[in-house]
Amino acid sequence: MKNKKSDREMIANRQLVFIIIQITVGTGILSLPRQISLVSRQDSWIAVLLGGSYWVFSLFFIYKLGSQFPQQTIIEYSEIILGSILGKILSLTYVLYSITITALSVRIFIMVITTYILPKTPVSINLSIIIITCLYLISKGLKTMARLDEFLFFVLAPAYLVMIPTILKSNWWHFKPILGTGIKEIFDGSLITTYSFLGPEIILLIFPYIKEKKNIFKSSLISLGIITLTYLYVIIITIGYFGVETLQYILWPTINLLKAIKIPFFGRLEFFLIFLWIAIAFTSIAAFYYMASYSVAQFFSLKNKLLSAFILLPIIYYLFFIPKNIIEVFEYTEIVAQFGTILIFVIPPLLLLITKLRGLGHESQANNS
Amino acid sequence: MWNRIDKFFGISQPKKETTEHINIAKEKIVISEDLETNLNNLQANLSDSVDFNSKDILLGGNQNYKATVTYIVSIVNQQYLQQEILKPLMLNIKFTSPEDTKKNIKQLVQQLPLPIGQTSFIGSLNEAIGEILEGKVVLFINHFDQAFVLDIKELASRSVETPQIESATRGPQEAFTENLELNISLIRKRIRDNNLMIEVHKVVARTKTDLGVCYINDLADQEILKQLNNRINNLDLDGVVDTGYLDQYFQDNWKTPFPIFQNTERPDKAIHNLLEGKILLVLDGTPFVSIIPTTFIQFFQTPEDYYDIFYVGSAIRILRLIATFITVSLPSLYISLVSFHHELLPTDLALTIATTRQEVPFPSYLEAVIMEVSLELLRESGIRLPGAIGQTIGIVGGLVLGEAAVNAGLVSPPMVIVVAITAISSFVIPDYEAAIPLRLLRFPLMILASFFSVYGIMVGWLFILIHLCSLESFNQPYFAPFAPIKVTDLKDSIIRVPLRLMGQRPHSTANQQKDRQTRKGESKDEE
Repeated sequence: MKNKKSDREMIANRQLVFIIIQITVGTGILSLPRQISLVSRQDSWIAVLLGGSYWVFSLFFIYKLGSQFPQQTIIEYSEIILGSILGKILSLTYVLYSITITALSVRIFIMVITTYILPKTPVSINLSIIIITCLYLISKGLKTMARLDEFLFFVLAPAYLVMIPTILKSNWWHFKPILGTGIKEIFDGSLITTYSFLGPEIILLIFPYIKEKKNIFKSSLISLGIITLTYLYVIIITIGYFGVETLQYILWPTINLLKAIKIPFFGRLEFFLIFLWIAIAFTSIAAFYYMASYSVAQFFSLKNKLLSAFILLPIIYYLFFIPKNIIEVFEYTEIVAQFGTILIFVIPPLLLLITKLRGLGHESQANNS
Repeated sequence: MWNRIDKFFGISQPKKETTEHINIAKEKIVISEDLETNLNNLQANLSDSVDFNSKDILLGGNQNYKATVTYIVSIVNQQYLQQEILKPLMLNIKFTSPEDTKKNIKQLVQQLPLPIGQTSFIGSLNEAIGEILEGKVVLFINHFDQAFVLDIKELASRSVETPQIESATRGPQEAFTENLELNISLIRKRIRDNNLMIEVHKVVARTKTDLGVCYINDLADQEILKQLNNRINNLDLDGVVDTGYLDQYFQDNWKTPFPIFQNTERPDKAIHNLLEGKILLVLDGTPFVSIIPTTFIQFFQTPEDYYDIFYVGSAIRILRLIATFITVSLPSLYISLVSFHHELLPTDLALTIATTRQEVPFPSYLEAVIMEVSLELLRESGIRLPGAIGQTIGIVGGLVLGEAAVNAGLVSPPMVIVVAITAISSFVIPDYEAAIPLRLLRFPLMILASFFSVYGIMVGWLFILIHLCSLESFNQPYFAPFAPIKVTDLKDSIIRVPLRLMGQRPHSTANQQKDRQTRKGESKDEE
């Protein structure tokens, strides 16, 4: 694994942008407006901007850490930095984190599918279908995933555009008074966004496969910008249409929003969104699953990613059924988000610091050899 | 995998023979000075065939110069042989001194005024057998350790006709034929460029078919050429009859329903691709020329797109993509709407469909599968039947059967409409080969839709998309201008921009010269 990857396995930086967008925007987008407006109320849009801006620092540290070990993943270099025992523990937390978030996003996905499309079909069968599709994508590898993501990004853009007509019926008084909720509420709201922003940490794993390593930070910032704008757009439109008070009673505001639009001859427009959202959520779930199976493969030094994906299957099925109802699901998302916050915002700077102190990393390795 | 299964059940595998073992003669035999030995050796290898002929002659009527002309009757121009070869050999050779045969014989034969373009001397008998089987005449002379080869082959072939499969409204109406030389001449006459390279390989042990590799040297990707040569050399096959054989062996991923190479019988299409830096495989004996590498979108393009005004070309391309969408997913969408989500339909329409379905005994998915299968049956029988009867099948099958099924209350009229639209759309896809997998894909989608409604359809689409994204044709992405996205190539994909704006060759097929003309365009590579 330490050898330089051949050019054919590499993905372009442009593709990295789309991978990050697709992994991040997924299951979170449907419930985000409700969750965030619960705390930040009419100033939710500021909270999202704030929540997005935290990631600039995190992405910077992830990039710096990665460029210290350009041919390795976090599973490999955590052992170099922290020693074998501590390193293994850290790797294991990353593995656990990626499995949990996979299971959780699948859970949210299946909840929506069951509610809107297939209320009578057993949940486990619906689950199996999406998992089989994920397994197929994982078997095809990162390059295929990169291509699929960039293709779907452009194909799925209409899903966001269909919301535009609701702007006509929006009430801009819903946003006033600006900054009226208080600084603390805005700050709290920005922390709630974390679940919806999880995903860019995939860079920690796919760093060795990216062509121009120098531009990774730039690429990830572009994707962060697009993600933040997407969320901002959705939040502004939903709050503008529903208002903060109504929003609390709507489970999936982004879907319900489209009920407001009536096109002659086409009964339910929200169905169109759900239809496209299946693909949006799939790319996110599949990427998380890829992340999980890849980190497991690295952790147990398995060569076959598909094999590790199969190993993970029972764990994902187990985790899938842990939350008993929808309320518990959202509670779990908060826990995972906090867990992720530590892993993504605290650990990479810490690792970077230790690397610098111990004189490890790219520059010193280059000197030794 | 089958090997493993066979091993598991204890079935022994026949040992794989390499191509050398199938060869007629194992060791190399040199042509000896003794005429009898040569003939005996030849006869040992060829005597069984009825059409093998050897005729003893005396060069210049001189008793001292025995010679034998060997050839295969069925593939040699006999009249020409008698008039222009045998006659001069028997009558026109003048010997000055009867003694120094060995030195002079070569010179004498060479100097003979034979009106034949391709002649040569060969020293090995194996080679001689190969030449005879190819339709050449080989002359053995006593006391001379070389054989003289004269190319006067005449193979049965048809003349250039109009395209049968890829008919076009506009543009050249010539089509490739089964004859390699004729095909190459069709290409050559359209490109008068000294960089047009044509290499001919003899492939495959038994049929020893000529395979022409045709490309423009300063446009084609050298990396792909190298790979192609590699794959040609590693070809381990008994015989090739059509380029389809080669396609399946040259594929990067053979577990795919999609055609990885495009085949065309239109020289203008072939030329267009040559000019984009692609490579043509011209196989002797088939009128279909393979284009390497191929992208998926190519199957939806026809030469007329470029001949017509770009509005028309673009509109027709969009129409084709809509047709593709309908072919793949209309029946499954219908199933999911009717059996799961009738509330999605406008009330009036839902009521209309419900009324027509009232007396139908089958659930909608079963109805759809029955109808689609019978449609495929109709299509296949239409192809197999001779032209005149083929139309009857269309009338009997399509009109009579459809009408009767509706009247009998077995099938609902909307279903018939859906099936008919699907059928019509599937014929809009210009490439027959690409249309087959797309048509077949609607069956898995219908099954998915009948179980999982639109969720199943989306999953099915994702499966297809993942598969398309993973495919490669000679290491070039198959789904190219879309995934990975090549912005500059999108100008010639779903739409076609005016030719003026197509100053650059497609980047998907990596090639050497980006600009088509001297006109300057930005040649910044995307990936």
